[in-house]
Amino acid sequence: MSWNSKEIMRVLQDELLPEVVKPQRYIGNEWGSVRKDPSRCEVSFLLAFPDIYDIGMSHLGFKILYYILNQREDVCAERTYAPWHDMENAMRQRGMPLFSLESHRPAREFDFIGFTLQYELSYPAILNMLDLAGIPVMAASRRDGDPFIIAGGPGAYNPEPLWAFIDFFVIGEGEEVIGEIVDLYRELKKAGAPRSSILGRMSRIEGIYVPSFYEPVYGPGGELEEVRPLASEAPRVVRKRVVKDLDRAVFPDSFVVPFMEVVHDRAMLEVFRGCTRGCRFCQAGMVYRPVRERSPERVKELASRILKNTGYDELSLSALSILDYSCAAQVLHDLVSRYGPEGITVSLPSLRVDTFSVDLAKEVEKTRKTGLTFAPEAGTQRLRNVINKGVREEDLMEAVRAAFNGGWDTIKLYFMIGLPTETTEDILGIARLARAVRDAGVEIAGSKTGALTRFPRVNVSVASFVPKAHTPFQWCGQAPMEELLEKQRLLKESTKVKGLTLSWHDAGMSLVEAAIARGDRRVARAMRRAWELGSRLDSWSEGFDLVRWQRAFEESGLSLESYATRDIPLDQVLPWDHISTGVSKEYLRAEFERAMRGEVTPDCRFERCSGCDVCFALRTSPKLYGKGVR
Amino acid sequence: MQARLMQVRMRARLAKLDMARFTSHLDFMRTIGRATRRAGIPVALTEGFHPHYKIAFGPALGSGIASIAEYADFILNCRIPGEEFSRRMNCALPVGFEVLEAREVPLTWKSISSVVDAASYEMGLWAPDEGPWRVVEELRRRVKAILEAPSLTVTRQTEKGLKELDIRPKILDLDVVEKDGNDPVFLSMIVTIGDGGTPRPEEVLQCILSGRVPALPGQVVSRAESSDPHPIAVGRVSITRTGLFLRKGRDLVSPMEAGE
Repeated sequence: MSWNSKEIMRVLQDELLPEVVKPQRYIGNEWGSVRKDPSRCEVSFLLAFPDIYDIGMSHLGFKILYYILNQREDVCAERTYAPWHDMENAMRQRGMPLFSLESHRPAREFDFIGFTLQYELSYPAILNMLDLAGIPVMAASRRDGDPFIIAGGPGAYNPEPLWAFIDFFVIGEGEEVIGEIVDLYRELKKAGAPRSSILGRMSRIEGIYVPSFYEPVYGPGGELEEVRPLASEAPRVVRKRVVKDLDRAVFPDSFVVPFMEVVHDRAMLEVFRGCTRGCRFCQAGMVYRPVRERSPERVKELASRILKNTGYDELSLSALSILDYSCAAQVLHDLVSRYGPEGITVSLPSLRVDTFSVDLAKEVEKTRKTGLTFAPEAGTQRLRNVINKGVREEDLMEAVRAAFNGGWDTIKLYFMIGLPTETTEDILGIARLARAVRDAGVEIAGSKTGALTRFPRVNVSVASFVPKAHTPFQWCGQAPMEELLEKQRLLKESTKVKGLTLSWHDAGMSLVEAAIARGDRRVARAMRRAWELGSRLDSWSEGFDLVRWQRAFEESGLSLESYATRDIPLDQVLPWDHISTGVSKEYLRAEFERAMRGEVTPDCRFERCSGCDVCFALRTSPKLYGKGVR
Repeated sequence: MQARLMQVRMRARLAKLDMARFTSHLDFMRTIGRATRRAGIPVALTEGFHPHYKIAFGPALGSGIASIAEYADFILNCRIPGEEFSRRMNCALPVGFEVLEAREVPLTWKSISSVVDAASYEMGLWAPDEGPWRVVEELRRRVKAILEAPSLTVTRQTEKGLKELDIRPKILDLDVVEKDGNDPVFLSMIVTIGDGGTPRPEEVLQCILSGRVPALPGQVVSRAESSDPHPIAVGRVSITRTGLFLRKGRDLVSPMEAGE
């Protein structure tokens, strides 16, 4: 049966949608979705999120690209998401291919299908979506007429585990390069250029990595010696794209507004990009450099248009660390006084560990004191210095006291275990700190002047350290799973007290995440095998199976544990060395060494340049509009 | 502090059609609320610490059921004509949602959900091959059987397990409407709603199609018939809520016309 838009829509309504949970995931037609006549567009682009609608609809990157692409008359951009298990089964049973939400036509009819790489465990969904679309999973098997399967996002900074499935990767920020890709494709499509020559021309665009134009060279011991270009047009090192002036960059003033409740169901406004706090485990803090802010005027103007166009009653200011915005206090004050009376709330996704943050939170959340979140990340000063998290215990205690005094009765604390150089003392430090926070709350709740009406609750969320490419800790192996489990057990035992609850990430999921995050091209075999063995939506605990991954690696002749937990010698070639974020490897190495010596590196926004090299390499510079509060 | 404004109550009848019928009642409420903001409708806010828009909806509609009779009340801070309300809302509503009519009603009227006590549905049935329909007579017989029977028991899955429910007293009317050619056969139904045990259109339809209908009084049911009730195979089914009503004696009155 040949599926078209009409047929898909008919079968969805009559047969599939009445039978699945949350059929709203598949209906499209949301406010703000753009429907164009595909026959009048020269280039069609399908933005594909490798997880379900509920998660994918909160992704800001796709909102930006959707907007930019659909502003062009010659392009139609549509969306698709991974179907939940019930829908996938129903589609497979009925033979229905993956479809887009706007025109409900088969995914394989598009010129481009672009996946975003936000989380390693969502990669199997990419293979599954391609298969569901009836597109060859292996890039090498695709022919003229098949869509180009492309991928971007933070995961693309180590593209190698996906090299066999993706025709080309887009490294870095997509706002500008997406237009270049479309322009070039349109020209070559008109000229009837074959697939191979389109790829060849694409590889000359800065920021484009065509993996089939490179080959890895392994030494006698199986260690990587080099990833070298095979084609003359392919650059030796692919450098990330960066938007130099965020204030003048396109930002959508309208979004698709979902019917159903999704994660982060609110208007989103990116206030600045990048972070130079320099936490040594944090990939986002390295790859999104330099810091570029939007001007307060532009933020306010966008806020007004976005709220008017979407009808949302909540606006979230987003950035890696929102209160580092140099004009945070002024902008928040203006927004709250402008929109508060209309019943519109402003929300902050994350707080810094200081009283400045709590003071601002007081202003923003005048009434809805649902809970504040702080991320000290490590339990002792020694370890916080190692990871360069510039937070002192007294900062944390002051901040939580201010929060309890301000009437918040729930505090959430984020910590990480398995960090490099960690000892039992650091784990006990987490417990000690959490108890101290809890005790401060109890004390304030017990005092006559306190604003607390309920017994304070402290929720401690514990993640396992996952080494990521292009960070100072990229060389550090993850702690073996047994060790992580033992540390979790220790932590659990030492936090048994009323008002304190502990939660953690699944250690098995962190293990697989680490193995993929530091994987080379050989991991692609394991990825394919895992998918064949049933991996679909592995970012969900009900879809994840550690044994399946261990088997997939084993059957590919690889060791899952080794990829995740081995320490990589500093002088070894890394699988992602031919991808450049602009931050130099020398800087990362120096940062690693400083970490081992317990030395902190200050933020270049407040002190001297730390020498990460990004401004020089990308011919750009940090852009701030105010002085900010340290 | 906002000065006390003269408030008015706008009552609207809305439609939820096509793909939009797969949205939930909560989705519907969110969608309408956001549309008022996009449309710049001066909806009043509640007072207190958690201000929200003063919009009140009628009884929930099951997912998958279309409707041309969803009602909502909007408390507005200033008077605007019903036509303008409709026009502005319809520019701000996504595909599948529509304000069909709106008019100002007295502030003293009770809420829609507290006064509405009957609903009408239309169920379109297509033959499995979408060809001509040959079972109209059988449908009529079964509908008649239901209407003449004193009870019709259905089983429902509840949180406390299976529960038996007699829905017959709540069925006010049931009829077969035949149209020409390959058009579907329509069943129309009016049921009471509220005070628990509202019959669901798909339950009634299931009783009719499965043949699990009561025997007509005086009819001798043969052994074969009772054990093999001849299910009617259908292709596509579409269910639409066509009205919500207040029962005034034997009359059914639209919520646009009455509110007490």
